Amino acid sequence: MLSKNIIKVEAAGAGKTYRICEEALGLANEDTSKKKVLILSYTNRGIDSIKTEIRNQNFGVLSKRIEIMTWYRFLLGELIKPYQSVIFDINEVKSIDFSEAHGKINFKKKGTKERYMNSLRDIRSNVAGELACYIEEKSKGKTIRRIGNIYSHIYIDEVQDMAGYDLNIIELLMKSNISVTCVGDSKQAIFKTNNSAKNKNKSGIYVWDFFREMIQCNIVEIKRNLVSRRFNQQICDFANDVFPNENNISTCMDESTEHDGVIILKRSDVNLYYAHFKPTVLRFNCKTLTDSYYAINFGECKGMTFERVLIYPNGVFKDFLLKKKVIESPQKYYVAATRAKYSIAFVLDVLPKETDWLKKDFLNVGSGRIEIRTYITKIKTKEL
Amino acid sequence: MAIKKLFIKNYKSIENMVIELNGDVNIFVGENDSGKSTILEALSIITTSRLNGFSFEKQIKANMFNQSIREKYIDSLVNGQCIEVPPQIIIEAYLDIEDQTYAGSNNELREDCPGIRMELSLNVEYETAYKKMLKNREIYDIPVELYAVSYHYFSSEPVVYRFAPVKAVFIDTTRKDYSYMMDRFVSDNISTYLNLREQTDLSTAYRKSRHSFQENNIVKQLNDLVRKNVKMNNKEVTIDLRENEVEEWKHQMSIMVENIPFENLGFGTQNAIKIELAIKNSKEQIDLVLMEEPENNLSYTNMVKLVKHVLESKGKQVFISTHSSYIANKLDLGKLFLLRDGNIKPMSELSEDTKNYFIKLPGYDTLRVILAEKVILVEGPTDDLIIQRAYLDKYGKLPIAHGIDIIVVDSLAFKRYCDIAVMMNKKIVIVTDNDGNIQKNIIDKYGEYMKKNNLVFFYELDETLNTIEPSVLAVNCVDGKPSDDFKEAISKKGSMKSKDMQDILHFMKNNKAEWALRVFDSNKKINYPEYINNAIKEYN
Repeated sequence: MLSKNIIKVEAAGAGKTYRICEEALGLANEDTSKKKVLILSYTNRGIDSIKTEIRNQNFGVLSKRIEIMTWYRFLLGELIKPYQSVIFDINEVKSIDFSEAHGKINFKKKGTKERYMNSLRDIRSNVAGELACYIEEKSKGKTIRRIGNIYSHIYIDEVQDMAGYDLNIIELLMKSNISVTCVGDSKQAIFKTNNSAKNKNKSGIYVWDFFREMIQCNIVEIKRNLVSRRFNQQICDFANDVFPNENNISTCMDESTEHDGVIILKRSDVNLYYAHFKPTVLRFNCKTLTDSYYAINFGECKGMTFERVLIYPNGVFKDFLLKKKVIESPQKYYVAATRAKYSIAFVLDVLPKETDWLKKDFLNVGSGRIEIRTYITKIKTKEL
Repeated sequence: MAIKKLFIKNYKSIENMVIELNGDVNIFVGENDSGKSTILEALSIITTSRLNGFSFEKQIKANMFNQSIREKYIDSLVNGQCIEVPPQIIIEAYLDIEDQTYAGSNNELREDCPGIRMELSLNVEYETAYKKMLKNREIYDIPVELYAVSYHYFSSEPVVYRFAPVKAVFIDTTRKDYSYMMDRFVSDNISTYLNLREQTDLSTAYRKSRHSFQENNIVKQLNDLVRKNVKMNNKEVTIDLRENEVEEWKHQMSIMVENIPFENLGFGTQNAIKIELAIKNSKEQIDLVLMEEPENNLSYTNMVKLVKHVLESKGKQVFISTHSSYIANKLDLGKLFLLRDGNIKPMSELSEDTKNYFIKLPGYDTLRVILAEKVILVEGPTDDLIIQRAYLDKYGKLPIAHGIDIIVVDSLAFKRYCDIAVMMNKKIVIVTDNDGNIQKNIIDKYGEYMKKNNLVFFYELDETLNTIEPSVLAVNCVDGKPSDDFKEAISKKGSMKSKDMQDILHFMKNNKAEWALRVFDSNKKINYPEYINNAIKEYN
């Protein structure tokens, strides 16, 4: 029998948002139960792209039977507030306070009001998950029961970002009558036992360890989709280079245009290139200057797709491009490398010397012609 | 959708009240100022955030707080020792609804249930202002100007009434403004019977007629003249129809009842139609119907129709406050809530026996007993008339002038009324015949009730005087013969003058109401039996 809970590990650009929305709409329109479908994502941008996708598939409108909210909104509105009276006064909780860092140690005793709430009656974000679990326990399961009465199915996007008590909550949901579908990025879905200390969260569970355990207990079933539909072969190869591990991705996108693949161009040619190809500009963070072009940070472009991107590389990315130096925490770089459909162009002050992986080439830019370096990958991806 | 429980704290006459409601019909009865309207108001506030058609928030006054709570707070301000917490008004509706989105335990009873909570309390934003005013002794009463209203579901989500799961309509039969309901009726019918195409055609036709009005030569002529002669702020002025919104044409339509515009109908008929619309029209997505004393302005026939509509309404929860026994009896006394001094007692606490008895009782005067200030229950019109006259002779006024209502009840119903009186803790005076056997007809029958302080029984102690006739006759005899004054009092044109005792007793027994009526109208005073004299003294 198929499990009611599913963990999907998908390649970037495999269309996970599309399928979450398609499934959710299918469930919402079945109309067999009066319950609703809930889609959760970590970030507001994630919420926006889900809403856009629902509208695309649903005649331009959102569905009355699909609720879309951020993880924190879910914690606050559905897990903390309804039964807050086991620890707080009626309607005492206002909102969530994101000002305290996640690492900060909270010395207040577990189960005390002060541990969770600041003087403005907001819940400290770093203990919101813990509080939700505490209330669920104190209310003898009323919280999850209530959610089960409202929602038949919950989709959790970007599950690789979950940690600590968030995972306990997912476990409680999976063990209830609700069907839970978690979706995570394949590159980050490494089911290894040797957790390094930095991957551990406070309660000592590593997100993929958690799911491995859930799979072993038959609570959740795993489904993989490592074939992207977003980008061409060159970009796919490049992404595997940026973040190499056993979960290499492949692509089935075979469109070609006047300019495909990964290149490096001279800073002095940027204006010409930009005017012709209209790429979206990306950067690691705001410390990287982008010649007054409007740029999006790597961390914020999750879930987005562009025709072409132009990247102003930071030191780490330059070392990778020029020296093939392995990127230590490649997550964000991987996100940047998997946004474009057709081309990625890196901007450097001067063009590097030709190497095995950087070949001299020329690119027609409208009426002009500029010299570039084309990035070549040696490793051929295998179909998985 | 229905409200299964209502919680009210500190609102007007209600200090603290939990009412378990009926899913279909709820009838609130009570004396004036007993809290009937308060309950309907609370229901209106919690289901619509409105009171009397206007935002509750904008009508907050210190006198909305329960009087004793308010006095306690003011006293603490005066004493200055220990200031009471500024009082709150709390109203909570516990809902019987499938959608658990509104569920949680953010309520006074800490129940896990869907519901809405209204809290009127000191706004924390004004914390410093309040403290400062306290310190400067500038607070003399509940500082309502520092108060704020909040509406939350029990899940703690704020309520947006436009999307709330409860839709209520308050039918106020004392007001003529029904435009909202009329508009709903018109647009509902339009959308039911006309397809979109026809609706658009109709809308276009309306626009065309507006246009032809605007293009009318006389209008043009008028504007030419205005343009020529009037200047405002040195600018040219013309006159035109008001800009209209897309739906405007619907507002221009009204209901015609047998060719008479609704607005021109009599008040009663308007009310009857209004109530019918609210209760019967299932297209109206209304869950709750609130009616305050719907019998006002309704004729008997319209009242019968109203009761019929209420009984036939499906899926609507109806709340009625009434003084009409007819409405209360017809809608089943079991659905009745009796209010008294801010306390509520559901009629379901009455024994099934008594309840059923009243449902079948043809007299329908239950509410008269419940609502009267002071009650004397008697067995028949004879007792009624004699007691009234005895009272008049003694105090110079009829008993009703002193709030004493003498009610004729079938003696079989005494016990039932006693049940109500016991439940309400209401004083009732009962005057009854001994029927020749005090033990059997009084002690055995009413022994239990006679122990209650609030029930007082009066009856002839002499068992040979079995009814009021021999009793009255006995005290109006001189030397074993009826007195002349008495004979005159019960005579019509001296008809009794030559009759002896037996004849008179015979006449009295066979003409019960008649002799009493003659006594009542006579200019001669007669003597009254001891038990009647005692009975009329009871309320003084």
